Amino acid sequence: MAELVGLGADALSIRRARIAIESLVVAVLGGAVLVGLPILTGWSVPWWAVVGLVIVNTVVSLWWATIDFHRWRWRLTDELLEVRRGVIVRKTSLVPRSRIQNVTTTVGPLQSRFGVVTMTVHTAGTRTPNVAIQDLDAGHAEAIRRQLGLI
Amino acid sequence: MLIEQVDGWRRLHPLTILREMGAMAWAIVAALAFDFDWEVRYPGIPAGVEADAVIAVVVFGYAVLRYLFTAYRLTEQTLDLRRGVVFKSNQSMPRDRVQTVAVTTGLIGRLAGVSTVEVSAADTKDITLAYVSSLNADRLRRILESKSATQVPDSEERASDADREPIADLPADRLILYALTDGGLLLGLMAVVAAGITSFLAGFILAPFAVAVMVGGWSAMRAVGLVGFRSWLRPDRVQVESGLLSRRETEAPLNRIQAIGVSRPLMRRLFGHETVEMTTGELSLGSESVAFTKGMLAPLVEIGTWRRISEKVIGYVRLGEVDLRPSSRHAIRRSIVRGVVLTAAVVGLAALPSLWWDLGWWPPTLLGVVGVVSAVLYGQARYRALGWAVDGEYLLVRRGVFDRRLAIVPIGKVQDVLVTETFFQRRLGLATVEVDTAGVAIPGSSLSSGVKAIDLTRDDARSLADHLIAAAARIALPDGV
Repeated sequence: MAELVGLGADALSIRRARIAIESLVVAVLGGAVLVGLPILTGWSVPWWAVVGLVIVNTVVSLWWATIDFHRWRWRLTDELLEVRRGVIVRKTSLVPRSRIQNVTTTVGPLQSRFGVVTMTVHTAGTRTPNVAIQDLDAGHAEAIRRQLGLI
Repeated sequence: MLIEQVDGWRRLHPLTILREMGAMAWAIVAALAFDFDWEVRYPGIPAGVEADAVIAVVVFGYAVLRYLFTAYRLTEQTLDLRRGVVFKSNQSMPRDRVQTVAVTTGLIGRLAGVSTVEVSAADTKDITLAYVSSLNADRLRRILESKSATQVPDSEERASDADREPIADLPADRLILYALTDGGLLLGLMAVVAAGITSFLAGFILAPFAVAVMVGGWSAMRAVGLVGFRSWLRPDRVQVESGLLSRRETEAPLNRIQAIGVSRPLMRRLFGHETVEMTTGELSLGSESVAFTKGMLAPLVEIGTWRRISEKVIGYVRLGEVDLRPSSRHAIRRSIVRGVVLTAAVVGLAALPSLWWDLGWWPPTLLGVVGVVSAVLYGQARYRALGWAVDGEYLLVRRGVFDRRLAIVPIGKVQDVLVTETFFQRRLGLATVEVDTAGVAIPGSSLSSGVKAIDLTRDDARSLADHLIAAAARIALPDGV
């Protein structure tokens, strides 16, 4: 029986990269507000409030992403695919191998840079997709598909 | 003399009286058209009315007499019909001459569950039985078509057309009971009362009426979709028919049925009834018409009938409700904590206006006490409702304080299992096991919120999940559903 494994280190890196981009966008928006608001309305926002918001947002996101990253666990045995995740609400999905109808992998531009994919597993059931593993190592995804006889 | 119900003689359906009156409608029309007028005047009665009233009474009385003097009988060799108040007729048709049996059900027939049976034979006059109850009509047709005995033939001997066994139907009285015991109706009545209080305070009188009309209309809508409901079992499929204006007929292959859902809303439970539904992988395809009749197997049957129905459509279920295992007792605590948090929020909100208008300390306190007491009672009731049971073939789960729902899932149909632990559940060592099957649950049906075993101990949850997966993995499904 296969052991539960976590996501690869790249998954944490890509999460951090996403947060960096997101923080940059928030910082630019904050700067625009800081400059634009006094010109348009005459009101002004203290600069430390905007900077504080950007910093708090970044720190909380990083912290959350790290916990979330460590919570992901998956394994594929002869019988089933098991995926565990969730920070506040913890979920364990168990899918019998014989019920898996298709496995889809999607790769975004940032994901291809980090060599990770999003893998979704569908059954004939109501919950679609039944399982979605974000930022799974591309090599692992191919191994899963090979083991399921889908390649 | 009047015909007694002996020697196998049966009367027609009482609604026949209306039909007979319809046949004499000319008398009433004539009475109105010629406006018969007697010379004698009675004080307080407008001219002409008394004559019409007398004619109406005579017509009604004659219709009742005709009904009482009409009866039919099925013997080993013949189908007999006796009728006539003044001129008697006695018709007997040899059963081996029967050629066709036609059962027709009109619009009113569907509403009231009555049909007309027309039996034509090779060389004698046709026999028309109008009306008989639809169930009886079906029985007569099957017996007459089999030509053998007075008993309903066995499945091997049946003609292919009559090759179906009734599962359930919904006569007019049950339809009314169904509409009256609808779970939504109780909420609706509360809404009417709330609207009444509001309008009393605000002086706006129309509000309760508007709400009442909406509630009544909604529950009538639900009932209309089930008018003349009938479900049958064919060798390989379930057949369901219902609807008043647009009649809908659904067929579901037995091997595509994913789960059985039993629902007992509070009122229906008190009357000793339950609703049995099914979820199939294919019913969702035809999505145009009334949604809530889809997948219905029996709208209103006695509590416990689900076992008989399940046996027909998904096989014998060894487990019963007595086998249900309780959830963890910590489930009570979780529920109470949730209720108390909600109460605190409500009390907090209520305290604001109370302070503002200086109403004193008692309104929020009263709310708090009522809230906490209901939370405790609800927690206990919820725990008693929760239950799960599993064997090698089926999974049973039950829940619901007001609308008690029981789900029966053949384990082979399980597509995946989801074990969820929320923050509070984790603190109490609880977990919820949810099972997914191919069937798209009908919104508002007993399965729409999923098949869940709620608040098991973590160990129970894990072993249940493992058991389900192991069993499901062993059973191969031909097309995956």
